[in-house]
Amino acid sequence: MTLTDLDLTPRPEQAAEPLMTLNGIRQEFPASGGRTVHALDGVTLEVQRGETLGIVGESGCGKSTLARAALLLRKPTAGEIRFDGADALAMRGGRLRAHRQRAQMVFQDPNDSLDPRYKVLRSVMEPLLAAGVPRREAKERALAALEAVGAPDGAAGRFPHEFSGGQRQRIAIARAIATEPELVVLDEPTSALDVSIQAQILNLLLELQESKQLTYMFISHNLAVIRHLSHRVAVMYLGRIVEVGPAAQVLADPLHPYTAALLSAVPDPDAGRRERIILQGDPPSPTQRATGCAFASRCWLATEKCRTEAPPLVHSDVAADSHGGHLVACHRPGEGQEALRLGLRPASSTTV
Amino acid sequence: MTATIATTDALAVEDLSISYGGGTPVVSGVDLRVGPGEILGVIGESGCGKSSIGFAVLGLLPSTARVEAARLDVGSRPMGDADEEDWNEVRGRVASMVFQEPMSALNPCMRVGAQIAEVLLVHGLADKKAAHARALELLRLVQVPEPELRARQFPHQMSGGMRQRIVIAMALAANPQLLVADEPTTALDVTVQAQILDLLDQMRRTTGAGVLLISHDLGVIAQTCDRVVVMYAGEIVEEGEPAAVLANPSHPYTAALVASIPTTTTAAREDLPMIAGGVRDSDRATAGCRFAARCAFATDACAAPQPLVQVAPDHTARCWRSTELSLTTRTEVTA
Repeated sequence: MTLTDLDLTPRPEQAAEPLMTLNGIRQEFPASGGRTVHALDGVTLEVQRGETLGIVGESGCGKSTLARAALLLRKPTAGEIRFDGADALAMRGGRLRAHRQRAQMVFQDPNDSLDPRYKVLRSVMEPLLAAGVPRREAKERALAALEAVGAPDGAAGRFPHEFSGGQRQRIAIARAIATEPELVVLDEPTSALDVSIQAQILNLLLELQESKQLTYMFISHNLAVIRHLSHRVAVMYLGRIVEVGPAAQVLADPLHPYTAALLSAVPDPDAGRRERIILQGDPPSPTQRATGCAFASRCWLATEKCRTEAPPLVHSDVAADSHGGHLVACHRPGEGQEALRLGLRPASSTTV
Repeated sequence: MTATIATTDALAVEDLSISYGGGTPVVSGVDLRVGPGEILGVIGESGCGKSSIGFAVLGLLPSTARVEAARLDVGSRPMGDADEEDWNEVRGRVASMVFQEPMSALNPCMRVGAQIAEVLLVHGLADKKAAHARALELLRLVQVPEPELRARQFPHQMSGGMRQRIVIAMALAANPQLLVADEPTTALDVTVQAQILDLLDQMRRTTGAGVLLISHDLGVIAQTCDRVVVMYAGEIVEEGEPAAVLANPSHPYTAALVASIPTTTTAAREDLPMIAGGVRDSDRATAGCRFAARCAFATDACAAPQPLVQVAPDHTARCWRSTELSLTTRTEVTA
């Protein structure tokens, strides 16, 4: 997919310049046997200031690769990243270091971002020192960040192993917000936590977003968590965005059959046993770049056109509000969810 | 496959307690019953003792663990005083385990067909030729496409979902009466999780094996289980049908747990109710309610021992206030 596939006409409600724009991002990795893994196959996304953009998809869909690309941790094979209007991929040296203060990351496992041999204060100060903040000021700001995340008293002088998983994640969040970034990319920040601790971290993230006017790119495989936090949601499959739009619309009235299947596969304690779409097989290997729709091999609605012609990510006539920024890449948008609503059983569904 | 539908319970446990090195028990006073073909869910957070129970009923706890039970029947075998030799005879044959991480449950250097056949050979249930034929039959049973090809492959040549099917095929090889599945889908993607849960559901129907399904995921439990027990700090705090327990919790811990999870009906971007504090070692040692220190409804009377009280037919809760409290689990979205 290319830039021209996407209708970038500014909508009145989103006329403000986005904080970050990703245009046609491709990320390829060499694989064994001379093959190529197409981890990101032309991703175009806007991240608006102050919003939470949820990125949902299953393992291998490219969501973590997208996070790393957005934070300039790895240069994409092709594409353009604009951050606050500037060409982010052209940044070097001091400009790049200054930029890194503005965009930070929280990982799934807090042990990945906290050095077990450093006291907490040192880990939280590190991004500030890297940005050239004087030591005394860095210490003050690190302590303020620890306070903002509700770290226990005296946390700064202790080691990561002295804390529970939830507390460690608080500290990792303190480290991410210490440089007062505008964008925080959160990669599965609660997946390793117990559910009652997850609630504490989600509440903290909401509170910080409000008090510090943060923009979040929130990556998760957990649709309920995505729904809870996000203003907008992008659904990824095999390195492509298959659907993006306001969270309430995408998750209540999905237009892409993959989104519909994903939603119906999530076991919901409220729903108990119910009709589900059970997809057959696994996602195809990202070494095989689909000529048509990436989902066609598992889609019960797929036609010859789907297998040969890649659907562009566009506004759909069947969207509840076709001007609300709800885009879908599907030749038969809305039919998957419609079938479920009418109680028709797609060939691959079963009730359990 | 010739399924013999068992009539005895797959698992009957009474007054199970587990402790390590003379310390505070990590599990105490647990009663469990899994009927043939039944799926019993065990739910709780880290450290509640759910995995220890799963290991204990397969005799897999380390020798430092002290396991005591008034009754520990696995299938038709009383295992209360069993030694390692007795367990070796039971494991894989009467009861087997499906682990969370299929890759570490499989031998990376052995073709999967041979791994499945090995179960039968170890127990002397088949000769080499019959075991291999049975392995193919099991691969078909767990819906592995192209079983002849797959049987010759190694685990690394398969996806996570396919590996978990192999693990389930191994677990089912000797027609066990009990399957213990400890977080069997936690490492899998949600669309693959749906396939594996569907498979477990079909398998208990076709083989008549009872399933002890251990999970932290309330959604998985709600969707899959016939009955559920909720564990807190080593004891059962609530038991009943998932629909009743999760929709109308009668223990304040269950209610708080359910409320803390965002679902399709919680109000987006609003604070989730949290459970303050955490489980302390002293909570496991108290004679009274173990949740009292974190409970919004605790009174002085909660310091007294709490038996499981019946709140409805087939629904019990370990809280003396369970019938007078009206516990809300969530703030509904007003449409």
